[in-house]
Amino acid sequence: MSFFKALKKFELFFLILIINLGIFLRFYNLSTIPLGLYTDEALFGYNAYSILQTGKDEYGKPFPVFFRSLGDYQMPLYSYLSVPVIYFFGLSIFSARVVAAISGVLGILLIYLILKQLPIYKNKKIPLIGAFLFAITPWSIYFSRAGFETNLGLCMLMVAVYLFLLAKKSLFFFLPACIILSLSTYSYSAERLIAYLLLPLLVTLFISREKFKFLKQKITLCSIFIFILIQIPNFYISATPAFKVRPMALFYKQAIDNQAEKMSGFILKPVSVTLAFVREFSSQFSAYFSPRNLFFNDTSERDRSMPEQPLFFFWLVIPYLVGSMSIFKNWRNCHIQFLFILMFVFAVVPSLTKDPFASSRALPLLLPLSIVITIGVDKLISSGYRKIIFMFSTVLLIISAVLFWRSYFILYPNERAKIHQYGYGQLVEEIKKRPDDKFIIDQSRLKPSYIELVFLMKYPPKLLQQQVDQSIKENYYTNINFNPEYRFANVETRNIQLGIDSFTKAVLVGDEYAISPEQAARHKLTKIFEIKDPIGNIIFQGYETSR
Amino acid sequence: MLNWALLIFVLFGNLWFWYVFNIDRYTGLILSLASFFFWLVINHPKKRYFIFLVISFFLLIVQQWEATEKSLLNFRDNDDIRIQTQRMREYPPLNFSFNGKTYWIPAAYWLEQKYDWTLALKRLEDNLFQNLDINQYFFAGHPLERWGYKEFEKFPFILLPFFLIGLFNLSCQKLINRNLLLFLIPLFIFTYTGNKNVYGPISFYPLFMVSIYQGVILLLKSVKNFRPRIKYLILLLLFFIGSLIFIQSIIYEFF
Repeated sequence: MSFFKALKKFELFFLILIINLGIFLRFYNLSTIPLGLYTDEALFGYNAYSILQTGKDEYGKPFPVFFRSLGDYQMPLYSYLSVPVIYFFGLSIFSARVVAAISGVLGILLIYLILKQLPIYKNKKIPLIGAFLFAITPWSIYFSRAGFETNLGLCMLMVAVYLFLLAKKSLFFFLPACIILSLSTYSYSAERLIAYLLLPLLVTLFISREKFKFLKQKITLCSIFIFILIQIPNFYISATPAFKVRPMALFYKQAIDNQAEKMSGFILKPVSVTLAFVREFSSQFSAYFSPRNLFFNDTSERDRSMPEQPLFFFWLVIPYLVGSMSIFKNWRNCHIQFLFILMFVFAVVPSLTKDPFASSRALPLLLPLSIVITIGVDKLISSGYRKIIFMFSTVLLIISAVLFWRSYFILYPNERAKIHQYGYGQLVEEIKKRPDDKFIIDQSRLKPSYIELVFLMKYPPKLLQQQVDQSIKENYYTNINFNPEYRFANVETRNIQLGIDSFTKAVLVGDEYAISPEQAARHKLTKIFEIKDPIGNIIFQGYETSR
Repeated sequence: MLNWALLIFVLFGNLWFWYVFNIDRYTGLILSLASFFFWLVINHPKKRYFIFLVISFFLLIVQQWEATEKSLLNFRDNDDIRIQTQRMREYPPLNFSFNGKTYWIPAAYWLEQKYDWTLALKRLEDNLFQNLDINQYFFAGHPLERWGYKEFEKFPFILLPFFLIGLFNLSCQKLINRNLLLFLIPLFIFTYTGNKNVYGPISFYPLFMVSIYQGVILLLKSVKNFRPRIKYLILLLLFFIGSLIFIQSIIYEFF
């Protein structure tokens, strides 16, 4: 029976309506909200542009397995998938974000399909309700509207999960599931560990149901073999510093050492280190399921959150708690066990990082948590107070919609513009106005500026590749040190040295603290422009030297 | 005998009780009584125990109420006023036309100024979710400690699984379920007033205590049919690990 025949007509109609709502929420003013161009977006977009134009990344490395970027080695899939987008739309803020937006829209369809495969609810409309809640969830919308590779990773995990569910009915689907899961490790760093944890746990779940007959099937062995084959580039890189640089930077070794130090006078060191790690890990793990962090706090990551808008609407805490009780009650059900595996694996990775609540790294949790909430909604609908629940939820939905509009479309573009690297567009305009002047962009407090500038100036990748240190290409995966000093067109990015630079003919650009009015007066500098964010904070000041 | 020993261990074997007792012995006494009567009502449901529970629970809520720093939900300090003024300017002019007439929508006024409802809603949510944050009870608020609050160790985190299992078990039993609704009273009260007090959310202490007790009982029941050697090994291991974690909590709190 075909997919469309299987769907009742009204269900298809509502599904299309929900997907259209999701498209609107994810694509409306995509290039202007969020304001600015975040560093990661610029890196993905420009490397994709460079691959398109030259077949090499910004450092001149042909088709790298990981993109060196700022020495943090980003996963490559987002950039490679952006290549056709940039081919059709050109290099722009919109094209840098489109892959994330499309991933977000696909997520709506995928959660519908996944819920269809999980017979853990009574009401037949639950898949539609689940898709609707996913479409309007602030957490999903936020990461769909900026060039964050984590959303692509979530989309791929959702495809893999859906295929694994289909594989329970027909083992044929195990092969594409393994392929997608393996490929997801190239979409976002977290997925590298997630895939390695998820596959054996799901295989174990299959074995427990189907016994070892499952393992003897040729397709099973073939799938696992292909999974490993696709991981060869990862294995190749794993022996280099490039593989470990990001995870090691994020692990909370310092916190563990500090805690173990406190206990060192009372407990043996190996024991105290173990206890410190277990406590730190447990606290991080439980934080990802805490109602306070999911339904109230705008997260501590100010560059990954909206003002006064939690990840889920606050009133969804009720179905969340109801759903949680329900899944604990039915823990013996194999589909619930599947859900537990997803929750555990998706929470383990962010629990190993030092950020208190990393909403980007924990984005895969959006899938199982959305399912739990949907199960809670099903329980509430089935409780017999349907009319009251419908009335309350309609009112709460309207209030949440207004508050979301306020948070994302009014407050966020204004209050987080500076954090989202707003101002570079205007700076590029200033640079274009003075093509004969040398611009020195101070790097002492700013994130690396070069990538924003080359992106917005559409600087030819071939020229940039010639201007970087050529030895980087030769030691691409071993040379992890990043130097933010660049020289291209009429721009230099480095720390300003007033004692030297004020004697050359240049325009010195920095943030509000780079050059004080007293220093400007002493060095006879003339302020020629000031770039502010929408709420009046100074982002850049440009001073012309008198020479 | 074992039940009583376990009750005493759970009731008094955590830092939270002694923290409260140290500050005010009277409050510590009410805390232990309320917890004891709640345990009695759950395990030996009788009307007179329920009456004692209600009285002691009421006194407990009063103690927490007295100790809580209350502030108006829509009170604005200087920084709040600054943010409000800034946000009033962030809204674009909104209007729509109907029948040739233009109608202006004062969204900024409705959302940022009138009745301060957005600020009040945010504070209500903050107060509510602080009480629902599991990390506050088992990890002293770590990793997202609250600004302006003195976080302190309450229960050692090894008791978290026992709490969850015990709470789940209690909520599945319909008779007991109704008793759990008692805790909605302090939840609503302190959502309104806030949670800034020296004792922490002591109104919920009986719930935690009894849930942990239930969780431990369930564990003991589940290992009952194991072979003696394995049974004692599991219990010994749990005791050893639990002791280490308890020592860890003490060290974090006092050193």
